[in-house]
Amino acid sequence: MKRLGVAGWVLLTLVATAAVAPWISPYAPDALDLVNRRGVPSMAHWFGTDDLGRDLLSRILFGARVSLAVGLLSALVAAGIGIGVGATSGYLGGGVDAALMRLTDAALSVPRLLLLMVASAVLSPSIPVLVVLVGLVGWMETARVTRAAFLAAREREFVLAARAAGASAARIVSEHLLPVAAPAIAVAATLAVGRGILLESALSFFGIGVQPPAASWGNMLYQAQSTMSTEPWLALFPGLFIFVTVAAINTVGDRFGEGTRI
Amino acid sequence: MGVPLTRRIAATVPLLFVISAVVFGLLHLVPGGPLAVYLSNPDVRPEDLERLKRALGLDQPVWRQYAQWLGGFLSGDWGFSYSDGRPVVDRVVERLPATLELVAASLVLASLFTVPLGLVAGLARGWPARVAALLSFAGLALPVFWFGLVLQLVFSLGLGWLPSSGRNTPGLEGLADRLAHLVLPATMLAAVHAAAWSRYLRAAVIDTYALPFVAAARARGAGERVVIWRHVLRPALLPVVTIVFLDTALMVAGTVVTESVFAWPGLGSLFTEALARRDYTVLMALLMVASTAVVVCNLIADLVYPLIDPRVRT
Repeated sequence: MKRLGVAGWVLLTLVATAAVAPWISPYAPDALDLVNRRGVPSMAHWFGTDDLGRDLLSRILFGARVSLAVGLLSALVAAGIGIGVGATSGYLGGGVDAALMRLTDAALSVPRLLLLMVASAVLSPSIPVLVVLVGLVGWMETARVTRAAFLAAREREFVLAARAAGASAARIVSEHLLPVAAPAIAVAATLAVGRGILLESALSFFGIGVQPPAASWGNMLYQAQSTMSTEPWLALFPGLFIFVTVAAINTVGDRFGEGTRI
Repeated sequence: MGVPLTRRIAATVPLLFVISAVVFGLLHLVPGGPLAVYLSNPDVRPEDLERLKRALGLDQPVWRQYAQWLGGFLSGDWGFSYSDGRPVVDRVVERLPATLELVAASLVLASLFTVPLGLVAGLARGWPARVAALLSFAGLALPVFWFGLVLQLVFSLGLGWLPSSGRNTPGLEGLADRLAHLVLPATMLAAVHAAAWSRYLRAAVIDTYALPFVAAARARGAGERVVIWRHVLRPALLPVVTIVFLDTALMVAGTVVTESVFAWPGLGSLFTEALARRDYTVLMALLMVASTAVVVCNLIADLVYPLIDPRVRT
């Protein structure tokens, strides 16, 4: 908490408002106001209303819970797999390392959005399944940095000392190697959060991610697309929130990176 | 530099098989399989469904269906579209030119943005450098589809300067009309890549600028312009060029989003159509095309690198 920076504050505010959305949002996210349908932004409805008269600001606040949660949790899934693969690769080295890294390279070259689109169109996933799917296509970067950090630290004196003292492999990995790799993993995982939010919103934009009536920033854009010429605000605000959130997350990730460069 | 890329290709070809098997399984093992769309249609009787299943070979075990599909695919028989009964090859080939045109235009645009952005962000001082770095940073956080919507909103719906969808005005066949239709989708597809590439270029320019031969060139009396264009930019572009080739494959996949926003009649919109109709023969073919594009782009990057970097020539 030394210096949060603008991006850190933006992010903190977003997460906090999303957390208390039910208490601070001006309307219920699915409350219909049939008199004020397609309303332009006004004092009563800051961001306007949609074709059913639902308040856009309230929907964005509730959508934030879904979008941020999918981003965060999918990054956790991705980091879990990535750390597992990278740690195995970096700790064991040799043939296992070569095989796992070829696998990682190969997985990196798969068109992930297309695969995800097919999977979620066919499975019509619930939000938890969506989280897993997005996580499954995002572990490769974490695997790479974990492996690199492990390889660099593996032959350092404190690790050799631990090994000479008879420490088990599990102990060396968890107590000596993972702490060294943690900063790099934190950067990769942070960037995975931003990517997860973008992927979820892209899927929802095609109508195959988070399903209505639940609001996510992506599926709000999906619904806004058809009425863009008459109600542009419906398309502008949710996208702006995605943009600002991902930009803030990437900035924080970059800052982690600067502070911890070895 | 050459060896790891070749190894990557060696790993990617078996990967094509893995992807095809996974997607094939996904499409077939889901309840209803490829015929799931018909299940909810009250006009389709159970007898019809049975007959359709037999005719399409869907009553066979999945592994046998996959083997049949794979054999056919490798010999150029990509099967028939489930939605209109035409050969899949024809449907892909007729959409290919539009996508190639879009990708080519985006490559040119992205390169045009990359060089000034990267140079200014790397070498300028004060606010120009900060603005350039900020632009490329912002580009990376941009939700692409939203960027497309905003372009549409501003330049076609708002200002009315450019058409909002399609590849040409129906009935019109002029070059100017085609170019006008191309500008917005190509900009949308180029933006993210230009942002990423200019960040790489910025880093490369900063590193190169500090090298002794740059100081030597200046000591010989070369002007700042010559130093930057010939001695800094040229070597700094080398790593970026490799990334450009590798990213071209991503651009091909990215057309799915771009073509959907701008109703561009290429492979990307064929993919979304096929997805909506569960047209699984077309989906399989397009996934294979996209994955093959990755392999081909890797190969090109591998082959081109020695041509542009004399040091790795043997």
